[in-house]
Amino acid sequence: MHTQLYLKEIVNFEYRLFRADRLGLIIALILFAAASYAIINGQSWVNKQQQAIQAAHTEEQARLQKLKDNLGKINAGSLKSARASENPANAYWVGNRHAATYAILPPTAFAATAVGQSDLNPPYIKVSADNKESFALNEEIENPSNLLIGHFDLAFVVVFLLPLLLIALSYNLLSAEREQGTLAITLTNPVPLWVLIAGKLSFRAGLVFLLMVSITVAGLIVTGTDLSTMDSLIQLGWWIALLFAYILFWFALAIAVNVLAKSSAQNALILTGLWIVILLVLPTLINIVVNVAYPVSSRVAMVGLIRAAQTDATKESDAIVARFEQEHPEMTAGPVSNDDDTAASKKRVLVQQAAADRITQIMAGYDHQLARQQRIVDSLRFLSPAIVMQEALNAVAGTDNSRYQHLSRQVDVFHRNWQGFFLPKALENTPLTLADYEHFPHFSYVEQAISETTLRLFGGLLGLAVPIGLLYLFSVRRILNYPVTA
Amino acid sequence: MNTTANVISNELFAKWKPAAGAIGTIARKELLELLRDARFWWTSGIILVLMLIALILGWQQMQRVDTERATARAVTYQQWLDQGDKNPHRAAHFGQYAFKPVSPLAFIDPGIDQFVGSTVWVEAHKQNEFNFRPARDATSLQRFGELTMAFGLQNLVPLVIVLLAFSAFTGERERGTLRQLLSIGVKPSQLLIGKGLAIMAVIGALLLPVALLGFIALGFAGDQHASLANLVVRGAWMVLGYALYLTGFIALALGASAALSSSRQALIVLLTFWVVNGFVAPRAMTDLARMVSPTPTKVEFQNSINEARKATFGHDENHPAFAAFRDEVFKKYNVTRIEDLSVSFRGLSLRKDDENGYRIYDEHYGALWNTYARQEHIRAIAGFAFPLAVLRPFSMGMAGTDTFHQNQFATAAELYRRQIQTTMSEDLIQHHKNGDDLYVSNRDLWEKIPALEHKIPEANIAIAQQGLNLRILWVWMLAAIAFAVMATWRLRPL
Repeated sequence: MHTQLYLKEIVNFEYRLFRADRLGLIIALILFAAASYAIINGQSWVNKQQQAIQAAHTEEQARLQKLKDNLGKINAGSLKSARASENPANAYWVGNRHAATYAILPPTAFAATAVGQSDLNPPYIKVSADNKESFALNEEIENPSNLLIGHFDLAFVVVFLLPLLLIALSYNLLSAEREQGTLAITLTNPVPLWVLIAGKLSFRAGLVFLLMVSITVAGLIVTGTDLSTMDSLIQLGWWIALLFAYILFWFALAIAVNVLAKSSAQNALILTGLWIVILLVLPTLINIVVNVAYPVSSRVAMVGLIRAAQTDATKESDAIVARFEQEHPEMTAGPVSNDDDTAASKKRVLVQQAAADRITQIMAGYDHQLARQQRIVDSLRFLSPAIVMQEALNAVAGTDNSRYQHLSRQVDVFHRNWQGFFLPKALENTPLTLADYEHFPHFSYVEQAISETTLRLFGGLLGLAVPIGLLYLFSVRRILNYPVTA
Repeated sequence: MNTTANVISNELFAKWKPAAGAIGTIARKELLELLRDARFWWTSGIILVLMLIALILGWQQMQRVDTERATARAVTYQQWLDQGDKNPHRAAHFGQYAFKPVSPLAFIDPGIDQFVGSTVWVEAHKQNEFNFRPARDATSLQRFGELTMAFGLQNLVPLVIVLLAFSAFTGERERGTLRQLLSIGVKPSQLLIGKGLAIMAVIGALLLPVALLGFIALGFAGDQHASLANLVVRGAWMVLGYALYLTGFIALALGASAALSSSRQALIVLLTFWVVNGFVAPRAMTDLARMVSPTPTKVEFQNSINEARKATFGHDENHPAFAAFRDEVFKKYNVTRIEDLSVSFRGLSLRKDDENGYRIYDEHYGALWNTYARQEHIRAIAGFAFPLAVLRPFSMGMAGTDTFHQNQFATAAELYRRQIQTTMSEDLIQHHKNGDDLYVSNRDLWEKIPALEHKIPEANIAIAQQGLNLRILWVWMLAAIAFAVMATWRLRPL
């Protein structure tokens, strides 16, 4: 009962002090400016991705329409197809090249908050009936220096800049009062020291927390994010929870440093040093150690192995002759006829399938090694709350690797459906009809199960909660010896 | 008095005693104080250890990646030679893979290596983009950066400078020694130079072992990718660039200490500058550069190339340009039928189509790389205030790990592709008989194409590219020194 009363009083006084002190205002302004710019920036990135997706979709539709038009003309007899590779009824060529469809990964409602890996993983994969390696690993175009430097997004503001502001607010939580001499006077009241700390902390933490949340929500609404769906509300909830945990972590750290009873200046230096260690030294050190100790297997070796598999398949059957003949009919014996079409297409499908098993094995082996390395890095991320927070924010925004891997798995399944639609027709010499064109398989991304994302995000919260707990235990013990007079 | 300090001052600075007078005394005293400060030993010790770890691990990683790529290069060339007898144009379709070599200086500054594709398929009719960015196989941890020597020099050493220099003047003022110094007639500029020299000596001593190790390591880099002279000159330029950067930082820190009224203020201002310089400005400028000069998406880029290619005849004999070309050939060789030509019409048309393609690709890739260059220039503008914006590209440029060097290799791979195309077409033109469908060539032709060996450009080319960045860095350093000098003119003793 007393505790509640004192807490209220303390928060009240903190509020008055805040109003009198310029520092709080400066911090609020910096936060407002940085967060607003970050949200605008993030939204423009999402817009660019949406435009790219739209352009891909438009291009695909235009391509398909042209094919349908040509097929209509051929059926009506007004157009004759010169070569199999231009024939809109040839299931092999249409499936492998002309009708290749984009499997699209739509940005989530919260994608504007964290660019994450979405500048490396393109939001669309162009699926064709060809073997997986021909399309699965294509890159989006971007200046590599831009990728190296990164984006000024909300996740950057929260993970990197917010802790500095929190340190500025809390480095002298206790030490200032002690140096000014007011701590001893305050504690002549029957208020426990931890209540005083809790009161000061609640005010400052609450202030920053409310400020960040309101700027974020307002910013997202202003830039056009739809926050009314269930999914986006869940994302918002997770984001708020993570933000709260992160703020609490840095304040817990500040308190732990304060209870060491050093001077304000020393506190500031120690906390800045800890910021550097947690945000700069630890992540970069872990990164390079992991790259050297557990290197990812070489993609360049994989490329050589895949090529060897392809070469062997073509040596075993003559299909590359067929491909070449179709593309360069002037070099073949006799004019192209429908029979030549089918024999050639059939051979190509067979060669492709012969190589497919071996290539799938090679790529699966590589993916397996990659997954192992990523699991190791994943577990090492708990060494630094900054890495945990960055990963978690990426997961909330849907711009982390796991969502893209979810897309890849769905694309694998869709790819088999796509091949199952076109390749049998090529083998059986069934020409495509206009009706077939209306029934091409369509890709639609299905979001990850809530449980999967929840597990990851919960791991993130735990990765923050455990350090908070440890710091709390440490502070609670040291505070018993805290010298209230200077 | 500390005996070690005595020895140091006697041996190292004996020459200074008669000459510099006040400045020398100040410098010696500052040096002694620094060397006695336990905090200094701890921070610099840790940073030195971190940089040595970065050097060793960076070296190992670089060697591993280089070996992988060298092996892959041998494999792909062997696959090219072993492809058997086939029509030369089919061989051109088969092509090779080109693998980007790792610059021997990448262990100091790996630059964009993680974010640039390692592999490009060199095939007929198409100039492909590079695939397999190493960062795509990494987690979001990679986006925090790697601990490299460049990282240490760009971010951690300036931090040491800030810690050493933030209380240079404000501390003296707060202790009361500043007004004593000024009252006995010491000029503020002498104080500035003395303190500056001491900090420079300390930082220099800290970085000396690292620099020496770096240069020694260069000697062990094979000459496969660059001559030793090239590497040493590049290394020397890097040392100059970092020297300008760190000297400017020292001047800035001392100037801030002189201009501001308390140590606390000086520390906050300098740390804010350090954070903005290192983290905020680069990202903000990148976003600005992207807004002003946006990168096209892959769909846009491919579409514009496809549109341009519609004007070329490719393999479409119904294309009007094909008919025009055929008529041109007939006129040139004075015949009326393909069968009467003394050379292969197929070979001629392939060569013509290739040349049309080359023009298109040069134009489009040139435009794309110009977009990238414009983005770099926009980023460099921030360098007048925040020097990391020009130091980082300068360091990457000298190390051979920036976009320019990537584009140099892309050009080399493309020229190699054209060499393959031209050789294959020439063989057809000379030896293929019009109407012969079974013409094949053999290993003798494949062996005419040597393996792709790419050496990184000479140091003078790299420095010409980075001229603007280096000049901006100079200007910034001079401005920082000017700021420090002006701040000491109005030095307040109390």
